[in-house]
Amino acid sequence: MKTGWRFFKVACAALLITAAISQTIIYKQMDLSLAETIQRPLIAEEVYFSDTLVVDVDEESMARLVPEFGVWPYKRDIYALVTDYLKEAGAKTIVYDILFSERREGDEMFARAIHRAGNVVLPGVALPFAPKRDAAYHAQLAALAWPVTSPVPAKHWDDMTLPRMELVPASAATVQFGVINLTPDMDGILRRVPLLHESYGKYLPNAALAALFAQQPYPAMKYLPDEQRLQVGQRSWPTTKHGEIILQHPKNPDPFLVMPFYRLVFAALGMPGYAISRAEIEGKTIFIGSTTASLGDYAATPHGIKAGLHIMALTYQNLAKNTVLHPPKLGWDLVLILTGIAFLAFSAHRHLQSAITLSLLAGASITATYLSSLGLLAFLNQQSALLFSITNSFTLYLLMVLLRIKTLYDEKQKLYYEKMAAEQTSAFKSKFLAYITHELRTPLTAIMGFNSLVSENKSLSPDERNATKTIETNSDHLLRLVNNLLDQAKIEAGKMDLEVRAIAIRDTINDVLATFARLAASKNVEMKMQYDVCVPQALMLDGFRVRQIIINLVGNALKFTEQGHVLVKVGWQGGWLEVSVEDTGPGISSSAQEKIFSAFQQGATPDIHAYSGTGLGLTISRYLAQLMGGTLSVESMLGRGSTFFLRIPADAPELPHPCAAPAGLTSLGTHENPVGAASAIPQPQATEKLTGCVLLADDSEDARILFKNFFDRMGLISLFATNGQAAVDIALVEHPDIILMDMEMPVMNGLEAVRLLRQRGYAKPILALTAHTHQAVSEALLDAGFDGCLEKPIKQDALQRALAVILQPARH
Amino acid sequence: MDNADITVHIDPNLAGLVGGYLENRRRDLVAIRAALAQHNFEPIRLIGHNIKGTGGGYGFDFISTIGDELEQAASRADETAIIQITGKLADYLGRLNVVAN
Repeated sequence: MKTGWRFFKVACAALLITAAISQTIIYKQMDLSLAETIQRPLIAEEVYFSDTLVVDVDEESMARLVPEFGVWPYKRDIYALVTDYLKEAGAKTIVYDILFSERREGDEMFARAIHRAGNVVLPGVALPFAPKRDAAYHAQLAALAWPVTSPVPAKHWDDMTLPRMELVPASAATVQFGVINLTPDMDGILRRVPLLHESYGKYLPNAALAALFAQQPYPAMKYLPDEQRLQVGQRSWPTTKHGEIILQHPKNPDPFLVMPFYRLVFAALGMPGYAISRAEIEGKTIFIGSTTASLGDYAATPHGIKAGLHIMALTYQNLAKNTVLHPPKLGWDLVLILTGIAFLAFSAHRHLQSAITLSLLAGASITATYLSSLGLLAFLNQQSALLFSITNSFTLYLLMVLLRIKTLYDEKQKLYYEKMAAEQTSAFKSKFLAYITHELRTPLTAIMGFNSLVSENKSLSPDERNATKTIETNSDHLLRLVNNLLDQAKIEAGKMDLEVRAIAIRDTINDVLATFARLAASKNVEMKMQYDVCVPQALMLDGFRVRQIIINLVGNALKFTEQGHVLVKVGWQGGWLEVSVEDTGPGISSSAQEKIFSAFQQGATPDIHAYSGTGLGLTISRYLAQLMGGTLSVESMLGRGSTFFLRIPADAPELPHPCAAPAGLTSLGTHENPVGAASAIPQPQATEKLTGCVLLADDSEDARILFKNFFDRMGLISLFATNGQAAVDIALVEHPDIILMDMEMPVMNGLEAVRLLRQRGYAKPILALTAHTHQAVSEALLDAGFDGCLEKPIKQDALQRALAVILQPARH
Repeated sequence: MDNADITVHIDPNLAGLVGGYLENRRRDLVAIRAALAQHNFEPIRLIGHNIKGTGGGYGFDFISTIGDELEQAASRADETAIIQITGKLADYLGRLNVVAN
């Protein structure tokens, strides 16, 4: 509705603007030019008017008639001769386009010939000025005028030149006179011909109209303003409101049969060789005049300069065959305007706002309007205000584009301010996060730190130790709440990021279970874990967030299970880590199962509220799962417990063993001991003695002490350096059989040291001691010059195996 | 966590070293707290890095795990996590019962 109303207003504005534009001279010129140069040449047909003959007093005729009749102007007997001949030959009507207003020899003969013929129309010329006229003139004028009983439109003149009274007697009561004036438009182009001329209050016909009613009683005339038609006798034609018909020109410039005057005269004289067949004259309307430059009048028409004689003949044909063009009518023009608007209304209705689409629709609008106008002209001879319709469409299109530009600008402004508001909100949220981090965590840190200090005291009484445990438990709980709130704020601010690295998933889950072990024991709830053997030792995950999810799930399960068990199952399939947490708690109704994942549920049922807790834990857990590309779902039945399923993509770090040794070295040891409250009991092993010298570079005193113990047991000579530079210096002097190089050391790190050693020509094995053994790091180590690596923390047996590959066993 | 001892069986060949190693860890707790008070996380990270690399070698895998967590918490300047981890280490050291056999 809003769109329709908006479009209506724009369309009205376009109409008003176009109406204003249409009053300009340029527009009017363009309007005429459009119709004449683009439309009519497409519509015009080749026509040959075989029922009309034009007899031209041309230059050749003037030359040939000199011997017989002298120079122009001729005596009137020549016209008497011609008139008699044409009448005898069966001419339908003879129309002269030659003024016979002055007395000349032969007038009586001509008058008699006119009377005998009974079908002659003589011309008059309207004047824009009024010479003195006598009563006889006015009597003749009145006799020649057509009777008018109701207002009819006519071209007004101050005066009219009539033919000689002898030629057209005042007593004549039949049509035998017509006005031959040409009335071009202001631009000099003749387009319209007035059917009636008025002078001294008398209405006289156009010569072509007179030819149509020649020698008939004066017809009754009536103007039909609603239809814009002039009715003359039984005929009517569409006219302008000034009584003008709009000529329709044929495509061909020579639609008439033209005969030179001399040929007619010679034929009339019976000169041999100049006979004219009856067929050339019989039944035709004959127009006699001159197209010479000195005698003829000319007019510029949309189809070029034409002689008045030919225009008169064409006017007659238009009237006789009713092929005049209809002046533009409001009804048809409205159809065209609506045609143009319809395409653009469609775009407004469909909210089409692409510039290309609008342009195509505007083009379609103009094309459809033009084709409609052509159709009107071709099939109904109906002119249209084509340019108005096209201008209207174009103006409407421009207004829509301007409106669109304004809308885009407004939207851009709105987006700009919304973006600014969003940025300010985000900035506020970030500040809020930072503020909360400091204000909430700081006191918590103090509480937890001092509580930790107190708990280290071995002389605490059991009650005091329980008190520290209670403080620790509640601090942890409070910290979890704060962290959940902060995580929720991070989620809303879009600031939650993942840190993916290789983590030992079994250790992570074991650690979580260990955290809840005491609570489970106090509730007599069994905590169980099933670990699928195919789960890789390490998986690429954000360990911190995975741990957070597992804590939420296990914590929830344990919280609402009063008896039975909480079972954690861990599986890995096709690159997906699958963890399920199953409890024997009260279960969750089906209606509540989705709601528990929504933060801050209002009006929640007890089970929703119970599981939601603060309303954030499961929300955050699901969000984290989704952030990792996975899912978190639940299956549950009331009274039968619940199982939460976590499924997240988790690739195993690319092994084969990252420290793929070059030829001569076997794969090196890694540590595989599980982490938990108790470690596996190591079995003392018999240490194989080796021979050689080993240099250890490690800044950790604990590591040096440990390795010295290992080296001593293996019977090796050991050297030690506390940084990379010292290692290089010692190695280049002492040439140990193997170097074990820690990576992170002061002064010079392991990578720099090994590069320097290789540059200086040290070619013996160098092994990296590192905690990061995934492939990218290993390749970097090998590229730097290491021969392999040992994964920290290193145990004696792994070290033994690695050194045994390189060093020789000791001879006993 | 509860009050029960945590028993760790170690390589008898390392029995003579373990006492000093664990004492160094207790000193680490003090150093961590001191660094934390100064909001200086690099020393804490280095401590975590060190014990990560040595704990398992001495037979204390848990200490290696703690070291890894401590190193990461210090890398992201997470004071609260450092406090928690330190607490766990302190608790572990307080309940540790080393058996060399």
